[in-house]
Amino acid sequence: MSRTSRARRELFERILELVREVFSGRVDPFDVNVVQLASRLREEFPRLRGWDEINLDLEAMIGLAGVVERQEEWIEHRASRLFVDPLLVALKVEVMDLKELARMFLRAWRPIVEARGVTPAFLEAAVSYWLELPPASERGEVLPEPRGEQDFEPLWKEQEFEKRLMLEARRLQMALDEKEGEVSYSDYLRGKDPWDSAERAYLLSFLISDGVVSVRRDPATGELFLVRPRGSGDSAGSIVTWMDVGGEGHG
Amino acid sequence: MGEARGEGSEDLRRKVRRAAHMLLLRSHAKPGVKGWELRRALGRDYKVVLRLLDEELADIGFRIVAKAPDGRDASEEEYGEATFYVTFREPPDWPEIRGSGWRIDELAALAACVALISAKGGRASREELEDLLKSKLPEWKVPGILTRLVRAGYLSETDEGVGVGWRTRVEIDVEHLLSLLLGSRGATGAR
Repeated sequence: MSRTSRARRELFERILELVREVFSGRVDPFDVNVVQLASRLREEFPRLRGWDEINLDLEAMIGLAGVVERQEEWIEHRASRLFVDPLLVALKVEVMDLKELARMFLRAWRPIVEARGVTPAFLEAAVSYWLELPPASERGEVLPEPRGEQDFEPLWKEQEFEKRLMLEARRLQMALDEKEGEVSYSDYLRGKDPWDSAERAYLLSFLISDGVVSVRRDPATGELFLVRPRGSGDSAGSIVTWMDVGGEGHG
Repeated sequence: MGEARGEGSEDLRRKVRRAAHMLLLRSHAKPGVKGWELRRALGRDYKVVLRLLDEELADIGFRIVAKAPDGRDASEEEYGEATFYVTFREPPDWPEIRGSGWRIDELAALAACVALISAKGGRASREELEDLLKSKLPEWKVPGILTRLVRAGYLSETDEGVGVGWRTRVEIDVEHLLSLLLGSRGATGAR
């Protein structure tokens, strides 16, 4: 390959790379000097050798047209009512507390309402789950029968639930105070019986969602710990895990 | 004649119930029903049926929205191609949302992503969003949250970057969100 041919190829590659950067949002479309690059392509056009170079030239030209399109979109956006400086948005987000940000979001949110029924896609997923499910005998002990008549009744009435949630939060704070801000997740959940543990885990899930406590995983052992939220960054989280509440181990 | 009017009214009631079933029960991978599906099932007066249903739903805090394929609110002329959804009429309170599976940090992340993407003209790179979220959340949580938001349809990711998804266009009043964000004092909870 001659020197001029290599230089030409580098020009095409540089333009195509620039176009990719613009399309991915990493480069502002107005940072690209479209006129100058198009002039360079025009100068090179009569010297193109072979289909490879013609194709690359075409791709580069189409790319530059795309950049112009992005510039037009950018101007339209700036002229629209939605225009806000992205830096200002990032700054606002950075100084806001997570809870404050979420509560502000709620004021602009109207979620879709839908009921889920049995659909062909649902049946397909159910069949595949059933086929992959190991026999119950291989999955260890199942939970005991539900106590009393609470089968499909809510476990607690709303006021009772809020009261229990508050008590659980207080109990958790005491445990964290005692253990210098970090309590083993499985130790904390271990109750006097499996139902007690399940109730505690249920309440804990709300405390985690509300950002009262956060969860840390020890990367070395994989063990989970309940910790106080550190700064705004850790103010909420959730965890899905399983543990053998009747036995010794946990997973 | 009175009997005929009674039959007509009963027919309309039946159609309103049918429309409610179609709109509330998800039958596709994504929620929402196309205008032409509603027209086929409810007849030519489907717009009247939808208006009646919307009035009924208002009593329990819901509403019907119609979105054109590009995400705008559809005009009546565009109803055939539009997709119809039932949404909350007013924004929910946190206690209503607490049991829905969304965590407070995920909602905050969604607010931040939608605001930044909108401010950037509809597209931002994944790295930009990750950098923004890492300033608020533990680093390890960020990719998982972004993936969940993409899967739920709030964000849409292509080779060209991340934009807002179909669900954001239906559920979120982006203009209002930006005005709330810019109008916020911002540092009330800052640490």
